Amino acid sequence: MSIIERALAKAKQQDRAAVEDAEGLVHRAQADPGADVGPARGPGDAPDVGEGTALPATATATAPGARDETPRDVGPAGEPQGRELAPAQLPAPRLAPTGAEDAMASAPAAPAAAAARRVRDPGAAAPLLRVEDLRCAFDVSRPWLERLLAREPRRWLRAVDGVSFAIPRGRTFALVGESGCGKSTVARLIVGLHEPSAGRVVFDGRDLAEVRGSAERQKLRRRFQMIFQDPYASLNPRWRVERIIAEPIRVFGLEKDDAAIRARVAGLLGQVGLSPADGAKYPHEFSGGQRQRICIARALANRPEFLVCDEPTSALDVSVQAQILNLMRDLQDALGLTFLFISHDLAVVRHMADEIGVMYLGRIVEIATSRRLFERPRHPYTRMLLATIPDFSRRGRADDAVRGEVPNPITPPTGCTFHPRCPLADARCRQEVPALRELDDGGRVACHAVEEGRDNLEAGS
Amino acid sequence: MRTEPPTSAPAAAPPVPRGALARLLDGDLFHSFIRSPITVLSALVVLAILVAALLAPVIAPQNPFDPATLNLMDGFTRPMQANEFTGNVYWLGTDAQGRDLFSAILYGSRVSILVGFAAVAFAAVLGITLGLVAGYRGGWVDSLIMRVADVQLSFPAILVALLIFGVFKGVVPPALHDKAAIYVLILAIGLSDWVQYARTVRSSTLAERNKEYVQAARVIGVPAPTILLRHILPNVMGPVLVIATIGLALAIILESTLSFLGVGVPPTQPSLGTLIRVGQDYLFSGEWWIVLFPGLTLLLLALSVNLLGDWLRDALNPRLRR
Amino acid sequence: MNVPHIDQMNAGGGLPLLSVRRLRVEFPSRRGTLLALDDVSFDIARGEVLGVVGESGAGKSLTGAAIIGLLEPPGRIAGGEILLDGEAIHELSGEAMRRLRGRRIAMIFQDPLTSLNPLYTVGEQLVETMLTHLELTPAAARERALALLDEVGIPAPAQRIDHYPHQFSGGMRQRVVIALALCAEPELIIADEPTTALDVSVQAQIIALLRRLCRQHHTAVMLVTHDMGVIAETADRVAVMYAGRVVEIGPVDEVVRAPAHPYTRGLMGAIPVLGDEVERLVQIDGAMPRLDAIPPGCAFHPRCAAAFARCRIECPELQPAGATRAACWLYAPAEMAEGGGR
Repeated sequence: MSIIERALAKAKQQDRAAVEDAEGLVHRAQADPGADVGPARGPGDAPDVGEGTALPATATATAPGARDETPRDVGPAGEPQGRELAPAQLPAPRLAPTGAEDAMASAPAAPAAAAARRVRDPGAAAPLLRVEDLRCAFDVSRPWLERLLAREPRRWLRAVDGVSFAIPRGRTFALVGESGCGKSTVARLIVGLHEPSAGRVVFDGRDLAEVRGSAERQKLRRRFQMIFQDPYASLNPRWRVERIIAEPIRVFGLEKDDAAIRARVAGLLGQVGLSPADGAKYPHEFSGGQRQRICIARALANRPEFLVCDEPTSALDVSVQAQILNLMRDLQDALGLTFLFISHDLAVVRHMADEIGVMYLGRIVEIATSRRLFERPRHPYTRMLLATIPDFSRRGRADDAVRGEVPNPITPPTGCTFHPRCPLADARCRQEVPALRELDDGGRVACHAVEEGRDNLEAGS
Repeated sequence: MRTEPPTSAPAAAPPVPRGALARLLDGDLFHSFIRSPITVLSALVVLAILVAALLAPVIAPQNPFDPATLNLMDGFTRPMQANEFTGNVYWLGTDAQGRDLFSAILYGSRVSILVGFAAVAFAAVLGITLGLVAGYRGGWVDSLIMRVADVQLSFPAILVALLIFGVFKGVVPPALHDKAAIYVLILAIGLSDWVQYARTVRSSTLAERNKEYVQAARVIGVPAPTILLRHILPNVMGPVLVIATIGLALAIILESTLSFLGVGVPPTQPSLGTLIRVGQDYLFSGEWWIVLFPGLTLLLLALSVNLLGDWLRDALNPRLRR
Repeated sequence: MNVPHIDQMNAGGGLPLLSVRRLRVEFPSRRGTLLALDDVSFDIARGEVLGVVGESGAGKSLTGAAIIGLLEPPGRIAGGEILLDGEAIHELSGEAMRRLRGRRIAMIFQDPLTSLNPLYTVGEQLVETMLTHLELTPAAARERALALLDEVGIPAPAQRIDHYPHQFSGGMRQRVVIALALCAEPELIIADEPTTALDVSVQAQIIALLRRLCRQHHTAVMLVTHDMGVIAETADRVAVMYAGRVVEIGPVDEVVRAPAHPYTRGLMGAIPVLGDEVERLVQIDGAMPRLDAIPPGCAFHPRCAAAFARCRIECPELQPAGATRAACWLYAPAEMAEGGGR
């Protein structure tokens, strides 16, 4: 805590100098009428440039009482509990391990996974997923005729610009960043919803681009799944829940007859804390949290090893978010799942991830273990993001620790794209794109200032 | 301190499975229907005309197109008045051949409604298919389909229909004209009307395609035709239903217009439009009823169907937005 | 029923600026009347920031809409009163309410784009609002608009004043909205999720700005949000809402540090924090009931681990609970607790 606080104070001082300049630049860039595609909103089939975090207004809670088997964690009556006493001690209910997943020697069984999680030390295990220099550009040019009349060149939005990371089996890797940073595009590239412009996605040693033939492709697809952000849009409103959950089972032909499918759907519903009778209902009969449980049940239906979770809780209320996050961790421990977790919420990421990549305008600016990132953030952007997290122990936050806004990704700044907002930026930062360099503590940072030792973090601590 | 398990909570609103009818009667749609007297009236009018047309052979006092049943002496009988020669009384009068207008209208409505429904079905199937494909595939397929639609829209529907009729007259031997005319009519009206369906379905498809449930299906490799048919189609049908209702009124009017212009159904198998065309010859000689009653029927039918369509649009809209 | 001594903890004493008393809002529907707000009472002192927090459907936005007279039909105020500086404003005519709106009570909405007219420059909108409510010459109004834009942190206001809303970024737009809300020097600003649509780094700036400006202008704020973090950083006091009722109200520090109501406790525990590494987050099982299925007694009892017999029958009023006030039978004075329950 204290380190973070010091980092905050530090960032506050440093920010003050460069702020006026930074804001001016950013907003001139944004107000550029030519570049005005609205702040990061693409055309109809646009990339993820605008992950809204807005809660749907209709998110009224539904059905009284979700059927959770988990014990209640509110403190005993009569003795009001502060949050410091938050009962982490209560034994977490573990789901019965379905086992048989550990093909690799290093793949931990359920209890081992739980233990490993507590240590939070990635590495060791061989990566299940590797992403190498992934790039994806979207054509956001105006229609051909208009472009011709206006004598404009084609315009590209480089949503993902050279992203590399690896996720060991059974671990959680998180990508964090603000809207337009490309984190959701990375998720969609991995599951095949977008085609990468360049780079490789290697799953369990196989380059996804080299898998030919639909049968082979389906075999691989069976092994991963995705959970989406908006539980109101990710379930077909015209389908009954059982049909929704059974869809992957049918598509991959995992069960022979309807009775077996029904039994499996019932099992899945139970696994996510719903009752088998809920299968006969339609999605609109459920609350947001229950819908997200249905999404998870569907995602587990084909027994995947790898789950891409794209902001799975950002449309949910905070108490429901806790239910879903707990459920996801229980399932991970029980089934040995590997997660790619996408979020804009650093506190959630801190809770879920073993390793974290911070993205800004299509690039990863810092990768580190969860603990290291929050204790010793190195990149100025990471430090700025940390400064945005509300701190309940301290009222009132530095007015100017955080400055500027994400520039329009269609016309990103030169050099290090963060330089207009960076208190440490100098001439080199404005011209030269920093590469991701390994630090002695195992993390990687793309920052000239850190490389040159100008970041001054040590002096403050 | 842990008291009872939380299962006691959801006592309210037990999910008792109810029949489809009960759900319909309790639904918002039915409720808004009942609360709008004009809509109920329109529905009754449409229903009455539909039933009457369907049961024409049973209801009609005569078969107006069987020459054997006609008596030329009955010609030009005024409505509700006895014929000066035969003494016969006809509700709506007769035409030059002594044909009972009431019977003629019943039989004429049959043709009009048949052509209307068939044309709407044809236009809807064509438009929905093209709209789904355009919206889902995007790119040049989308551009091609939508440009064709634009070109089509820049001609009045009636011109398109006339053009198709002209081609038909030129290609098909005259002997077959009367037989095939009704199918060509359906084809002509359908082809002039698919654009609306295509446009609506395309824009709904664009919206649905980016929804996460479609992406979830794509992630597990569901093939595109299955996604279109199983996932997207049921979710874009709401607006289609509205267009189809209003389109039905338009199709019936278009059919009458074409028949009025003489390019529609042959006089041996007259529709409301044919009756109006025949009747207008007598308008200036004082036999007003021959054109008035088929005209009123057409007006009533088209108006009622239109009102139903308007109500449906309003009733479905807030639900779609929700 | 004893006279509710609702909220004696407002700063400074004296007449509160806004006083909401036993507010009840109903939505008649053909399936029966839905009680959306029930017995909502709180005060806001001059210059004070009251945070109203709750999950979606708790009625927090509805409370703001009721105060400013913008309830969507068929919603209607069915009981209670809203006093602005001692004057009952819930009975005002539409015209009187319109004059009040913007002048004495201003509103900031979630999406800055919907609060700005895309067809007018921000300067025109600021000037027009000022001319409507204040006696100023157009030149003086423009002068003031410039000063306000500068105050809310718009760089180069002299040029930006003639720009259209779409030429501003999301954060800058919300700054313009804040300037618009402040321009008639209202006594109270109702801010409904003012930062929810913004990026986290922009959120922090907007919150800091709102807090600073309201302190400088001595404007009271009712800050409606689902984000406890925003409340913790901005508000002086906080009201926690659940199923259309205020379940806890008190100074922010106290509510955050030692929440009294079991719901508030669960809510605080559910927020992942950076400091401690916990295996599991505290979770409140189930979900908030729908308006048409609010359980009898305390609406929270089916999800409450501490619930006892009385909670299922009787709905608790706000009562002192440590440094805050909570609507929970756990804090009922012993002589009031019939039979003790446990």
